[in-house]
Amino acid sequence: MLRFYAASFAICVAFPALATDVKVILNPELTQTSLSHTEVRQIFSARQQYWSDGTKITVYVLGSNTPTHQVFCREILRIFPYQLERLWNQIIYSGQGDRPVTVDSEAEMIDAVARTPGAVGYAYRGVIHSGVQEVAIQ
Amino acid sequence: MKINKLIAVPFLVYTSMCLAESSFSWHGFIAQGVNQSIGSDFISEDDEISFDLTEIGLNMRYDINSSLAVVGQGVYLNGGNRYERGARLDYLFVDWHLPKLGHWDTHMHLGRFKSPHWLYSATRDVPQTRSTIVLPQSVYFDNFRDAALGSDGVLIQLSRPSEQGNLRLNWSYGNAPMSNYQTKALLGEFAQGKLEQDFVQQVSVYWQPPSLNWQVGASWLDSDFTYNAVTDDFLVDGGRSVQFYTLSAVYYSENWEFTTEFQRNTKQDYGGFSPSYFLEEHGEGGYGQFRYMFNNNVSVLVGYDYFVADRNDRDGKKLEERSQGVIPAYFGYMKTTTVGVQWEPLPQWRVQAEYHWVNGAGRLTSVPSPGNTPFTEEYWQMWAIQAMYRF
Repeated sequence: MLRFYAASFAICVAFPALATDVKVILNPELTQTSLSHTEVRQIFSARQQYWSDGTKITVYVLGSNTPTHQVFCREILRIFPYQLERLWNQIIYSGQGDRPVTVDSEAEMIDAVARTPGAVGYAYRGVIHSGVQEVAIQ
Repeated sequence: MKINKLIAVPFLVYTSMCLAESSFSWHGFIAQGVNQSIGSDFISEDDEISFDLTEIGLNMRYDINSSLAVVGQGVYLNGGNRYERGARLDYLFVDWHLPKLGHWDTHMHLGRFKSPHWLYSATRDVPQTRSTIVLPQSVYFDNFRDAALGSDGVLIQLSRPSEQGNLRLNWSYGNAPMSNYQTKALLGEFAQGKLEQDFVQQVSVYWQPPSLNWQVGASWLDSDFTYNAVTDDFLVDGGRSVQFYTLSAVYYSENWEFTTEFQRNTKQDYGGFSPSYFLEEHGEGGYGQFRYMFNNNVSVLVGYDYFVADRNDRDGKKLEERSQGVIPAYFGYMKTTTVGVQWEPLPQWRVQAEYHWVNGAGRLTSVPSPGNTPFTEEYWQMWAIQAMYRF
């Protein structure tokens, strides 16, 4: 764990933009303007599958080996990527939810979130465009 | 497995509500391997290298609306002598997401639900979620796989995720159908009658701190079984009462993880071998596993698992005396050292290999039963290699 915090600290010092610029994005039709850390974890670990208005949540992620996914897990979810896989397996194979949809690139992620009602994903701030909304995490 | 009324009810709900706004998803897995037990009939006989390591599963989830879903899984399994080969319905239940109770998120599962009470109990049926191909037998006794995986009845799950940590509570009540295979596995080849599980009640609690880098849990199980002898049976009417407790802990680090689970149990057997037969045993067991991850695709594991059928007979000598020498003392315990490796060449693929060194035979079958002593040496080994694909 010490290595994790040391690595996170090093990333923050060396690449301040990198450490903070992965953002959670939502389909523009959703009315949420902020989410708590707990909600973000519940959604991306497939434990929360519907928004409060009953809209089905479709979660998009990048491949586990991509740098953006690794930064997202560590900086936003604050867990190791392999832990997220374990959480998915528990939910999927006990029949309690779906595995997030894996896309190949951030451009594909943004397009998918923009087009899919109830969708949520993440991307670096620099590539986010007006077709999706960025959400604050409290 | 027989599908009883509790299974039929969810199906009726499912069919009557099919036309509502809904979504359907399905997943599955295929795994094939090769394995061998050397000096034991645990997997294969006569030290044969066997391809009896097949697991094929198909599971589905049908969301009727945001609070109601139907969930099920059918599998085909061939694990050699470890459990019954063939197809079975692992689970089929209605998942009802109840209105929030304060900060508590509540689900009720009605039908053949899947047990969430032990660390691997909810995922032991899926090859790619298991730490090893053959799980630690002290807790995950393969002979009892189907009954431990799920029951026909009701499960209530409460979870409270928060910035202060995650708390999960589970309670379930039901029973599992016992096949002829399981009756004979537990009581011996000569059993002609029918074993039934009267009920099984379980409670478990799990907690993770806000960092989610570790988890602790505890569970309790209470169950009664009845054996109904038939005419010309070698056995008489009897039964078994079991209480089973577990404590578990997992620590997740960046490159390694440690998992441990410890169980203690009390077992009372009455009747069966004779009308006046009575035996009470207090068993225990547990395992520790350390996994080191070289990168996202390759990891190695080392583990130790131990089991004793009776804490007052750790070397099994009383068992041997009681059976007048028919059951060797080493059937009273089992100690296993395991090394394994996992490789994930592609996201949906995994290849897993492992080797086990075993001392004892306490988890080959449910002793004591003089008619149930498969061939096993005191010291034996087994290995397995399996390729897995999920979709």
